[in-house]
Amino acid sequence: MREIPHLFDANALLGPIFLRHDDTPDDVPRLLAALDENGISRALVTHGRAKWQHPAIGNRLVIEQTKGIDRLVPCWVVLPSITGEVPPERELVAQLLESGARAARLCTGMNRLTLEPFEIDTLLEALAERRVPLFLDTNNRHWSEDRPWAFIEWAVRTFPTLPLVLLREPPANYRTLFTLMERHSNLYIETSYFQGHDAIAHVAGRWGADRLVFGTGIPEWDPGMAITGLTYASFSVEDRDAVAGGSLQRLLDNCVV
Amino acid sequence: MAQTTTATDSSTLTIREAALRGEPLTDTFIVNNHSHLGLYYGFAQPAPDADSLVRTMDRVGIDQSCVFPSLAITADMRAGNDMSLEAAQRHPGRILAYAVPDPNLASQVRDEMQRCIDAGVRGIKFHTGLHEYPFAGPGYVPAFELADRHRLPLISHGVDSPDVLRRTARAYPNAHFIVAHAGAGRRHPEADPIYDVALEEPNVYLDTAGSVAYYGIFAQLVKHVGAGRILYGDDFPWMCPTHQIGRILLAPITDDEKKQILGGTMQRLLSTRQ
Repeated sequence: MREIPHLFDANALLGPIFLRHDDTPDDVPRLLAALDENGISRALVTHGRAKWQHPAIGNRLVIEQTKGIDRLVPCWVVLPSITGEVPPERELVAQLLESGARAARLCTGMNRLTLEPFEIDTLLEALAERRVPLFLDTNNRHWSEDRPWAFIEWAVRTFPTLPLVLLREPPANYRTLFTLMERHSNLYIETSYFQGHDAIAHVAGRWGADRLVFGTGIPEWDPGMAITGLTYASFSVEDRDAVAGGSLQRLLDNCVV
Repeated sequence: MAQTTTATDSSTLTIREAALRGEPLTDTFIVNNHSHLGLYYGFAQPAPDADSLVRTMDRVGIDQSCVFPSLAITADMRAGNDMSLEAAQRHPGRILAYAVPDPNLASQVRDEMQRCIDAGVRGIKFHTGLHEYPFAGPGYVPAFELADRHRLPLISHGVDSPDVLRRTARAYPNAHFIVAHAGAGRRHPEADPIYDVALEEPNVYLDTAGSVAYYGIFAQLVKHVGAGRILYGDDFPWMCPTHQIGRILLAPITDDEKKQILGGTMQRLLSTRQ
């Protein structure tokens, strides 16, 4: 009989989120209980108020609220610094790492970012210098929505030491996505919405299980589908365990602290 | 690295425990009421054939899948229906063929539905969106009449409105109406009028197939309409059964409720065919 994998969720939010309801786990105790209910050992967490209020507030809260909780690894939301909302890019990344965070999330549409190189290049350069994995959050819901492919291609080509992880990558873009997976080894897929038939095993077999990181989108999204999408995937236990948490841990460990 | 939790006998596992381990659900009869087959122009879909579907079913423990090829809901009703019938012949008892009418070819619908029923199809599928045709339009009437006469499941992607669904369900009381995708992806079960129809009409059911799944909502839906109104579907190969079944397997509902949704109710609906 197969053992239960150690699930390390790359896509979790802590605290209040927009459009939550009474059953939404919206604080640390409720989130930990929800992780337990779903067999999730650890989670990389961004604060809901970093996404739905402001990074300057939510990034401080995620550090405060995860202090001493080894199961929760903080992730910051990052912005360009030109407006003075956050420190200059290199300083911002240094603060991120000093705080104990090991990843950054870019909330593209919600923060009204155009993703043009002139807007975002300094930030990506600073992250790439410290090899801080960048999680791209377009706040997408349905597979039919457009993705910022020109930005994604530019980012992984221009900054080869920047691990770029596509959150909630849908199952309808393989003709574009696979081209970039083939050409750029620093592009990664988070699996919560990657639910085309046999798609996870297909990617693992073609480019390696280390190009996939398990995620759920909890507490906005139902984690059940992401979990069984992994546990019933048609690949080896070794590949399953890499996707379940090994790939993410390696990305976090590679930060230049 | 895996957790150290082990068990020696899969028959002692709860559905949740089996799902977390990736063990096939051998003790639960599972019917997937919503699958496609074959290649689709819109996007690449790895391994969309019947043999691949059955392999995935085996890995999860799905006993039967109801199929209606993407070709049938797009360009070629008859060729698509033939694909279903061939798949069912190739995998008897595992693949259940459905008939798809193209209401844009209204003059052909009755004969095509009758041909498929004579060949042994187990249900009927509408796709009002891709066919760009209203659920209440006259092109579908022969299919409604045959579903009613033969007491078949009739799953429709699109039902115009809750009121149209209610009127149609009452007009054809022996057909089992399944609202595709309505068991997933909506935020407010208590405030959504489509669920009032499922609550009040005895021959209306909800299909779980759908990519979008908000946290906690599925359990709220089960509480609101009851597990007996909800049917498991996975939308293969647009979506993977391995993902789609997770919203049920790991939901905070009882194993008895899960078994109803996974196949108990659908077995009953399939058994009424005359």
